[in-house]
Amino acid sequence: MKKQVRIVLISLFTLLNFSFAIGQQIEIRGSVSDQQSKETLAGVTISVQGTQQGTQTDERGNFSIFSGPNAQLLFSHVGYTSQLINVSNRTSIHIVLQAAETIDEVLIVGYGEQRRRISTQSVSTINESAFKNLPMQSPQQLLQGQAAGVNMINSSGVLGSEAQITVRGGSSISGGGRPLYVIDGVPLNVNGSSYSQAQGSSTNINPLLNIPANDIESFTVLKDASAIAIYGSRGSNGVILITTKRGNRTSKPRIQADFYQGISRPTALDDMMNASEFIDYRTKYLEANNLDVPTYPTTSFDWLDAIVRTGKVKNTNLSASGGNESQLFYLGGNYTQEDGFTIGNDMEKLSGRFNFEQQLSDKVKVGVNYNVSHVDMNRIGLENNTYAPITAAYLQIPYITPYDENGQFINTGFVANVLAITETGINKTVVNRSTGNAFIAWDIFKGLTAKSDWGVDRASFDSKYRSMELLSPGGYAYRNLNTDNKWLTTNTLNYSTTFGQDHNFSALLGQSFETSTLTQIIAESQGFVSDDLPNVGSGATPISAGESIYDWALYSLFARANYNYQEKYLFEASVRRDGSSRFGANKRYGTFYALAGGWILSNEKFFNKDNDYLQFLKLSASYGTAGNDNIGYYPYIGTFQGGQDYMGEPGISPSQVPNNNLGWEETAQLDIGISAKLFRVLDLQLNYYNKHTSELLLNVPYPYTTGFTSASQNVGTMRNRGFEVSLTSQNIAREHFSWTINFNIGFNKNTVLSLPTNEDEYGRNFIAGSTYQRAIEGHSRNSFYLIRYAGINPESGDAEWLDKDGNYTISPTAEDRVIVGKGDPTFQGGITNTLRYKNFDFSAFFNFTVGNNIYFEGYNFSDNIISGSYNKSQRLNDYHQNPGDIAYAPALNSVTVNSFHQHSSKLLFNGSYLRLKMVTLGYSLPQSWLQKSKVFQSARIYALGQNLWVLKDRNLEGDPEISANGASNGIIGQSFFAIPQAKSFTIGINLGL
Amino acid sequence: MNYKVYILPLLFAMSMQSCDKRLDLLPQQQLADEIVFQNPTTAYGALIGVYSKTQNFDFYGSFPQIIGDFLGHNVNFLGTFPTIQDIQNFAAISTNANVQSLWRQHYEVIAGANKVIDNIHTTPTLTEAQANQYEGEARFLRALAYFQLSNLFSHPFQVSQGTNLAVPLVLEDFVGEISFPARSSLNAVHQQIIEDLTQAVALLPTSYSSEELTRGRATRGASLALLARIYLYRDELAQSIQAARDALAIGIYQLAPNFNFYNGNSAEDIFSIQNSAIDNGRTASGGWASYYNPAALGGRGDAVFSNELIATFEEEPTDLRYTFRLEGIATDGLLHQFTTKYPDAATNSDNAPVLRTTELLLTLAEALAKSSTAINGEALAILNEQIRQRANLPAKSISSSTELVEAILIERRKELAFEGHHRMDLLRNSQDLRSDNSNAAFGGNRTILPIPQRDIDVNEGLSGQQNPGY
Repeated sequence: MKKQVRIVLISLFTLLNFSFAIGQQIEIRGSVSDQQSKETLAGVTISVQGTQQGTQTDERGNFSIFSGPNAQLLFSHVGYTSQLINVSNRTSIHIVLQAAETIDEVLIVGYGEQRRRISTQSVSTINESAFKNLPMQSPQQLLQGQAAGVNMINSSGVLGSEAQITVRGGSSISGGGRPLYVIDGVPLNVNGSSYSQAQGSSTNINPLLNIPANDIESFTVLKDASAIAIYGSRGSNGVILITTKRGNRTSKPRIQADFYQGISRPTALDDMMNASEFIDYRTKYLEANNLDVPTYPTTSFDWLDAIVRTGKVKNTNLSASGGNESQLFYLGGNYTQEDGFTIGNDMEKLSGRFNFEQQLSDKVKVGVNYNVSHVDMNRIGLENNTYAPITAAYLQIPYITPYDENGQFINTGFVANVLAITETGINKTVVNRSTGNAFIAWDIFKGLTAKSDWGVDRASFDSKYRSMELLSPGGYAYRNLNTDNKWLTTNTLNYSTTFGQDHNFSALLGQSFETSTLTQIIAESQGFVSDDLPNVGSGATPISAGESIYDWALYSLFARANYNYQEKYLFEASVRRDGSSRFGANKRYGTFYALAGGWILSNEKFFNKDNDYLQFLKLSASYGTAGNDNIGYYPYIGTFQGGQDYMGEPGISPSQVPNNNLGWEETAQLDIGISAKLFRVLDLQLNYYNKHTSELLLNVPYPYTTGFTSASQNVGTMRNRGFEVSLTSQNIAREHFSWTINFNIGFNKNTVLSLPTNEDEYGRNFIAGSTYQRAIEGHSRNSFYLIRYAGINPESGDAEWLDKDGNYTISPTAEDRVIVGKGDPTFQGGITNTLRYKNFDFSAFFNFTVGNNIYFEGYNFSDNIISGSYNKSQRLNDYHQNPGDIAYAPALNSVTVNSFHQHSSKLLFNGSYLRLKMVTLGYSLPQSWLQKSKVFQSARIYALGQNLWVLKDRNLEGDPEISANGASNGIIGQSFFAIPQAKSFTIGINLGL
Repeated sequence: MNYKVYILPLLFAMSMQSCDKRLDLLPQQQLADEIVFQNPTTAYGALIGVYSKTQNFDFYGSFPQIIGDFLGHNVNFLGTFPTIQDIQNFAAISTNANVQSLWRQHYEVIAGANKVIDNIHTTPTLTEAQANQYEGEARFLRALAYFQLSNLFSHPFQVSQGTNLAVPLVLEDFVGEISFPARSSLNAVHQQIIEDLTQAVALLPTSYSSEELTRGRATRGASLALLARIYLYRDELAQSIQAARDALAIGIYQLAPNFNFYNGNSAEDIFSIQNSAIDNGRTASGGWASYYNPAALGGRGDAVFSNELIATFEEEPTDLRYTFRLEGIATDGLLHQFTTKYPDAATNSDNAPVLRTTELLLTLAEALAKSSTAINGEALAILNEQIRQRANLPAKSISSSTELVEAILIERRKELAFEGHHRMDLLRNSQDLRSDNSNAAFGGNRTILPIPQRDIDVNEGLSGQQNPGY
């Protein structure tokens, strides 16, 4: 390598000398800086096109070069997109280079790094530039529409809720569906519902809540077998590696300060009846059916208006980073305060990060990455919960008011007075989490490095709930403390060498042990003498006192070897053996492996790289396996469960069926990829994959007559097949103007191949996810299985459905259900346009999903004609009155008023949408102004809008982004009443000191 | 320097040693199957576990009982659950989630009881007397589960003399081998219930060490009282009379002098499932006090007096039992009448009434009245001197045996309202649940619940055995 550098330098020197001889030249001086950090760049190569002249920028990023007055200068630098600039008689030129996101970048992979150019793995990387300064509640949101093959659905607009992420269609049915999140080498504990009490929905507290986006350097989504096999039994749902920032060796210490502030409103709400409409409708309905009309109150209240407010967000982020030859450091601090647009939903986050690396000698290096954070949330109920603000506001009868005539709160009953709850109750969760690792690395001899890494993830979720006298006579309180504490050690040996000039070889050998303990403690009481006593201990009657402890442990050995010949022929093999406490004695250990090969055609002699069409071409293929261990703690042991007490005596009851053969779910995956650089500006990545999951971990349903609901078994197979395209096009890269397009799209077809015997009406085996959604052999894992709704018969005024043969009926039965749609999209993706003109930058990001259906259970209520116990949708006002009417709802005296609301395809909508997810406009203050200030190195102000526009099913009143079931694989695209996504506006400033 | 080269790989190799032991983790909240019946304490715990299941919402935590009352038109269910509304409106479908859950919980009670019955005699150091008692208790609870299941999922005996399908009979401990039982006939299910109860009569004591236990655990008297009821439901009047007399002859069951007996564990109670503030069947979906109290008292305000029940009481408005009500705002935001039988909506400690002396007397009176064409004097005495007198109603003059039966049934309705009886009292007397709906007429398709589609899908034995009309 040194030799090469010397040759380059000598030749440059020669060339420079040569250029002096040519004459008729002007001297151009200038500087080059990084677009993102605004920092100057050293070592940028500047060459005069059509000549052999060239130079490099010095330590301060300055350069000087001679060229013809109308020459073109090419600025290029490793890791950056090259720019071609017309000199146009100028003698001073300042250039801003954009970081390249493409084939030259360094990839973070499992237990290491690779150059994308010579990597055979299929991964998607999202760099800081894609998410910096976004007012995002959680880092996962950064993945939406940004990575091909990654389907991310926001579960709701509630603060701190977990998003659903599926990588390449997921790989499980009953098993957990979350990808494995790894932060700086520490796999995060993600136990969802184990961390807090359910509040009406299985969406849980977001596992990444405690990691501020500003500390993140990049996300890497590992997708193909060669990338995930090294994560063995936990890889098959995909692995998301999060790398946090570290210092920069060559720069002086930098301080970065970022502030933003914004407001939010809901994107879409349903129209419900007001009091007079409701009473009018009820009266007409009761009269039409010869029922007594009661005397209705004359009061009215707009509940929806009362629970929606303008949300606010404020964020402050400060960081300092720097380094020198022996040290690197990054210090980050973040404070966010956010009030959701729904009453009662607030969040405060405070976090700090310290990343540090120290060279102890020329051979030994130590380092630490550590994050401490504190999140304080005021929680609200969600979805199927009448204590949830949005659900209660939709369902509350509009003549019921929150206050009595004296202005005091009243108890409105089962559909709760959510205003009183918010005002008087306590519903808090405090999350404290520290995640970090420390390592020592030793270069034993040239090429061989040993590294020992010790990590922890210590999370505590502390919830406090108190309901006051008015809403729970006697008062009620609970305190729930859940901690999940992990430690792990990872020890690796890395060897890399080049022999015989052309043979590049590297190998990794590693061992790790990881164990975690989840402790859940709850104390619950009632009977309070006063609302002024907020704590559980003041309650006269303790209801429950619980402690549960769950442990798991994982012991692993892994290895990987890479070989390439002249960077033309690439090979990689990896293997991992995992032993897990979660599995039966007969299946405790599992081995996973992958093999991959690649061929860089453009490095072949026959390939002429100097053409204008194709500058780089790589073919790669991989095949291998990964598993999923996400089935709880001790699912193989037959058990009796305690806590089944009677008359003060402790009892036990059967809780689990034994299965000592319970083992891994295994996903084998074939991936074929093409990477290319086209027309000098276009980076293209194409991948085809075929994932085959066997030994599916299924909760096989048992006849209830056994006394059990289901048992975990390894049965069934499933396939995900798909195609992904990622494209980055640097359309224009001039000094004052640049335009980049990032585009990605992922197609996936999920097919369940076989399941245990459990036949539907058509003889196909299935596993029910929900009452409406099931995995069906030969069809999607997320098939909606429903009675088909056919609309209102214009003549009779009856609602009609189709029976299974397609005939109209007014009394369908469960046997008339057919597959009417699916929850998983056919394709989804995103497109980002980024433009820069002089000091202005603009970017617009659209994301889209096509081919999925979404199901709104709430319509079962809001379309209920007969009940007088909750509010109704405005839709019902469009009821059939005269023969020939085309109406939404049946005639008020139709026999079908009893069944109109029932579950059918009427509640199912097309979930496809195209959304302007984000649009930003920024302005960077000119360098000349900043230099005068002598304080700031860079300054940028910007305005940003999120979810400003959406194209969706026109029959759909609500928001298409729904997912009430968290990380479930078996149920997606279902909601009761979801809090819609926020439409928000933000302004902010970035300062570099 | 060179020695360093070897240290690290060596350390590395050492750390590679097996971590097998660390992977042997056992659950801390559960007990492994095998050990439960190896120890008298855990074996007893398994029996207590069955009782605990009977407290559940879907067993005797009010849900099956409130169905009996709203389908029997004592109650108007105003609650928000569309799936429960569907049942009330005779519009349920076979995927109804509440019906599914109800079915499941009954079989959980049965499975728990089967485990005790099959294994209790293998438990070392347990005395024969203890084992017999535990078996008897489990048999009683299993009988109660099958009795309630057959009432809900099967037409009554009177529709086709018990030859119609009832529910699958599962009598053996489930040890992992799945069976796919088909529905047995109502007669077969009833025979099993009678068999279990008869054995329980032989195995169980008449009382325990405290009044609470005597009223809260299965006893000989409770088994006899349930036998009296099932024989009445089968029109086997002589057996019903005999069982009722045997139960009364035990001597610990007395008609309470007034109506202050609820939750009292007094001589009025034969068997009540005992709830407490920390141990009851209330769920977020409902419960006894939760359903039957307005929001202002901490309930859901879902279940109110039906107009029909009010009309029945209004015929003799001085009825003391009519005073056990209050007015409150129900789920629909309007004023309605609520029962005060289950007052504790704050902590849900009200006991679930299963068998009580008044019902036993009414059963005896009805069986006596039905078994003779002449007016039965003993039945008339129960009606007038016991039931009506306590309710502050004058003696009723009766002119025929039929009139006597009718009068007894009216008292039974008013006396046992909100305790889950009325639907079966109508159906087994061949009466309609509603007059304006053929689905709700005696023998109508929707007077009984659908077999959960989920179990038809999973259990091939149930294929083609759905109740007609679903």
